[in-house]
This record gives sequence, C-alpha cells and structure tokens, in this order.
Amino acid sequence: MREGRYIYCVAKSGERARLGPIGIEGLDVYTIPYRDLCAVVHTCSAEPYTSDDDKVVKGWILTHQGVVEAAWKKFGTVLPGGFDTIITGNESTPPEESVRGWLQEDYTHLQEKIEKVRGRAEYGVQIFWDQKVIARQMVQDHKELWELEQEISAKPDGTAYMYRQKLERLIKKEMEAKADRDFREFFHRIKRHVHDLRIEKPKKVDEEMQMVMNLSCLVDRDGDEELGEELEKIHATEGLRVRFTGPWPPYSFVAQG
Amino acid sequence: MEPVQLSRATLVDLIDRLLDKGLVIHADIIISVAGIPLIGVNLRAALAGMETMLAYGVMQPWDERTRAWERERRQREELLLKEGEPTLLSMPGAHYYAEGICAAWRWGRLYLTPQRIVLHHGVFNEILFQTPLEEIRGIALQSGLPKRSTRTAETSPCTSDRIAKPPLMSWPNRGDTHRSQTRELWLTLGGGGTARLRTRDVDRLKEALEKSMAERGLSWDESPPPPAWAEGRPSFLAENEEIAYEGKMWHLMTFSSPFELNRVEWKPGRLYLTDSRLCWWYGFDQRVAFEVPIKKIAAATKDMRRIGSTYKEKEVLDVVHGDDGLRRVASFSSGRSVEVWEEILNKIVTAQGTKAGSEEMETCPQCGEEAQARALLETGCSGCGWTSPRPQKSLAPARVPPRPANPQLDGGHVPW
Repeated sequence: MREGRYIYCVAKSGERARLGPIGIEGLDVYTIPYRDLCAVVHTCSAEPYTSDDDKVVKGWILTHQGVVEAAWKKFGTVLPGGFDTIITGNESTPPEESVRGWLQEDYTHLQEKIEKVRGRAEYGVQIFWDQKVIARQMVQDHKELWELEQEISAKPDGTAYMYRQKLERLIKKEMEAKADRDFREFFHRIKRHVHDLRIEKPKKVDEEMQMVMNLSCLVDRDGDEELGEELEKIHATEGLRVRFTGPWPPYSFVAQG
Repeated sequence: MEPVQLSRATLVDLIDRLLDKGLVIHADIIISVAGIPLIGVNLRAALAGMETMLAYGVMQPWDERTRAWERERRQREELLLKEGEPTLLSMPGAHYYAEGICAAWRWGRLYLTPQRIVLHHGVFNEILFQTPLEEIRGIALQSGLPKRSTRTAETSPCTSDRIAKPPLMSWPNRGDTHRSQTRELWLTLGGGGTARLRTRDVDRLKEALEKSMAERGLSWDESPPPPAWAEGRPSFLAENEEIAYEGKMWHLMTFSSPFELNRVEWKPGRLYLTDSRLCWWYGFDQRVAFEVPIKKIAAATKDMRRIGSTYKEKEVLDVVHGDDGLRRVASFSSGRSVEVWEEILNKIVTAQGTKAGSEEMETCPQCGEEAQARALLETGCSGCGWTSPRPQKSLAPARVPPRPANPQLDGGHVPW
C-alpha cells in the first residue's frame, strides 16, 4: 500500500513541529516545513477517506476542523485545506518530498495567500426573510396589491381564486424586486466592514425563513465588532433574521488567485 | 451581534466550507482533492437541509441575477485590476484596432488607474487595449481623422482607403451628425505606435490622464507628431515598407467563377508603389487584389483603350510583369496619372537593369536587326519602322520582349 500525506493546512512557520495525536482516527499530526512555510499533515495510505456512514464523515470533518484550528492557534496564520486532500509520492519521490516539492513550487503563490489572510478570519453571514412578514409588508406598501386583496373578499369563490393567484404572482414579483434592492443594500453595508467577501449560494432552511443572502466575509481577526453592529441593525429590522458565524479559518479565501 | 461558532448548529457551515473550499493544490501527486464527488455527494444526501433552496423556484432568477452581478463586480474590480490598484476613472470607451486588413472600433469600458489605462470588455472579460502610463509619450486630442485634401492632388498621401468603417454602435453625437466632429484621444506610445481612444467625454479622460501622469512625475509631448498611418499609411504594408508613390487607380480585375471563366471587369481602387512591391488595394473587398515585387516588373507602357462601355478611349497603363518564361500584363487606368506612373515604373525597370549590369538586346521581329530591347519596345525599330503591338488583351501572357534595360534612359533617381 502506497503512503501519502493528508494535508490539513499550510501554516506560516518554518518549524518542524508535532501537534500530537489529534488527527483523523487519532493519527499523529506534524509539520513538513519548507523555508518559512509548513504543511500540517498526518501519515496515511494513498487513498481518500470514504464512508457510507454520515456520522463517521461528520466526525472526520469535525476532526479536520479541529486540527486546522489547533494549527491556527499555534502558528497564527493558516491556509486551510479542504477535506480529503492527500498528497502521494511516486517511485522516485517519497510522499514527504512530494509535499515539500509542492510547497517549493507554489511558494510565491502560497505566500501571497498568506499575506492576504494574515491576522484575518472568516465569518459567515446569512440573512433570512420571514416570508409571511415580508409578503404582508408588500401588500401594505403597494396600493394596488392592497386594493386587489380588498377586492378578493368581495368576489365569489371561483373569481376569488383567480384573483388570489394574480395577487400571489404580483406579490412574488414585488418580493423579488425587494430582494434585489435589499441584496444590494446589505451588500454595500456589509462590504464597508470587511476586507473581502464571497457570495455563496443561499440554502433552503425551512418554509418560513428564506435565506436571501449567504456571505463569507474576511475580517480582521479581532475586528468583528463593527460588522456585528451593522448586522445587529439588519437583524433588528422586522421580518429579517441574521445568522453570524465564526471566526473560521479562511476556507473561502484561499481557493483561487 | 456576536458570532457563534462550532456548536452543532454550525456543522452545516463547516461542511460547506470543508467540502467545497479550502486550498486547491495543483499538483499531479495529489490523489484526491477537496470535495471529491464520492464523499461530497453521499455526505450531502445524508444531511438534512443541505440541498440548496434553489429547488424552491421562487428565487431562482433572482439568485442568478445577484450572482451574475457579483461575478461582474468581481471581474471588474478583482480579476481586471490588481489588488491595491484604484480606479481613478471608469467610462465606456473604444479603441481603434487595426491589424492586417481588420480595422474597427472596439468597445468596452475604459479604466484609468495610477498605473495604466485599460479598455476591458466585460462580457468576454477581455482586455481590448492597455498601456502602462510610462509608455505614453504624447497625448493629443483629435477631431476624428485629420482633414486632408484627398481629392485635389492625386500625388499627395491620402487616407480614403484607410478611413475606419463607422463603429458598429451608434456614436452619441448629441445632435451633431457630422462624424468628423467626433473627438478622439490619441496616445503616442513608447513602442512607436499610436492608440486612438474614443469616449463620451474625452476632455475628462485627458484631464484625468494628465493629472495622474503628472502625479507620477511622467512627462509627455502635448503635440506629438502624427503617426505614419495618419498620413495615409495603409494597414496592409509591412512594418518597414515605405510608399514611394500612390494614387487612385482603376484596375482590370479578373474574377473566376464556375459559370464564367475569367470574367474581367474594371474596378476602382488604389495603386501603391512601395520599396518592395507594386500593389493595388481593392477597397470594396478590403484586400490587396494585385501585387508584384518590383523586381518582377518588366515594363510599363501607356495605351489608349476603351474602358467599359464608353466609346471614348482612355489612357491605360499596362504593367508587364513576371518571369521571363511567363509574362503577364496588369492594366490600370486613371485619368492623367497614367503618364506619371509609366515614367516612374520605367525608371524602376531601368534602374534594375542598370543594377544588374545587363543590357538586353533583342532583334526586330520584322527586319531582324539587333537593337536595344527597350528602345525597340518603346520607339520601334529604327531600321524598318516596326512598332511593338500593344497588348490587346490584358489577360493574355504578354507578347512583350523580355526585361528591357537601357542605362542611357536612367535619367531620374529612384528611391531604392
């Protein structure tokens, strides 16, 4: 069985260090340094971790995160790797050399990324709408929707159904327009307090709450107060909820460029 | 508001990050990268609430829009501009692109930064033109192409074939429909080229550009000499190719089609004599439809012929060219300039003959007396009075004696 190295992250440290048996399946985690960078790894076989049991996978993911966190705490700046990134060797190059070769080859690139995230952390910002509340607002704010709704109650059942369909369409349209406006407004308000941000796909959480915005923000590691205050204001708006998570290692800001 | 971290509630956030993100390693030694489908998919399926809300439908177009908007913003601000490179000015603009026979105004968005001027096409994310400020040697405002007397003097350089096709987009004229009023910013560049830029507010662009150049301590020429092409340099010329003579010319073109073999027709165009070739530019097709290296020009003769359907005879310039084995005649016509062309071309032929040091002799086909080929061709045989029959059909290989040469006729000077 060929050997490989499971990569947790790259850290800003040239030191050869042991982090202890904190890795996936209790494996020893250590560093492979090159100049002032190092890869935080454990020794494994050259095969990806797979499992049909989601509990097992969740456990691995939490462990992966735990190791990245530990390295983050120890070395200050890390470029976190995604789950299941394994570097192997070949006939002429042992895996440890492969890792070093990669660090050497990508050195400039990695340094650039290190500089970008140094002293910073990632925060997740998710903004939700309470659909019912927002729809109500739409009707109240738009005279023609309000009038249409009033008319419906005076119509016989069949006609009322058609009218209700029409009203729903109009509300939906107004909501989309509002979502557009809100998105831009929130984006600009949040942008002022962050170094960088990524727009992620909104997730469906439940029927009532609709996620309208899902951001990953790069913020000074202890500078989340400003952003927190801004989010508090949004959170206080009727019909809106904000979920603020972090600090995360900067997963979203190390992938490209 | 305080961020929350690593409770069970944030496992979803964590999975999102660990499976889709993180450092991407570009190496062939890697056996699997983050988010490997096997794991990602089976994990996602297992976890509740992991599918995106896009399935819900309501927000789909909106989601697409916002993401597209964000992509655009990112492209403009991040992919295009380096980090820490602020945009001083940004406006729609165009750059005149002329390479080979392709010439057009290309539209995009102009950005001025303290380092450079960039014209970027947002949709294709393509840089249409850019130059570092250091490269700018001269800045000048021009009212479209400079006006020139293109009609009066045939011998003066002229741009009529070079004038840009009108831009595809309508140019905001603000009531002024005279195209030549469109003002352009011309930048003389270090490499020797000149960039022509158009934008709605050229004055503002010029002002901002000069300001940032001044701030960088760069100097520039306020009235740079006009570039060569502005003097009528055609786009098809090679870089060092120089025009010795040029003018409007009709040319008897040959068209081949499956239905008619070698149909011939007079077409208007422009004849150029450069230091390496004689070529005729066919403006309608935007191409060089005839060319011959000057070395292959054997003779130029003047003839009176009927052109097209008119009864009046016109002067036609027959340029005999080709190798000794296969001679061809190309016919041109243009009012009075035929005479000038004939003289110039014959000077070239003569000069070449001199250079080669050969004096080709020919015998008179009628009496057999030996005479200098050129004299025989031009003035006829001094013994019996025979004169050379002018080529009757331009397409027939010329029944003309081989390259004439006569050092005595080498009166004028030729530029090569």
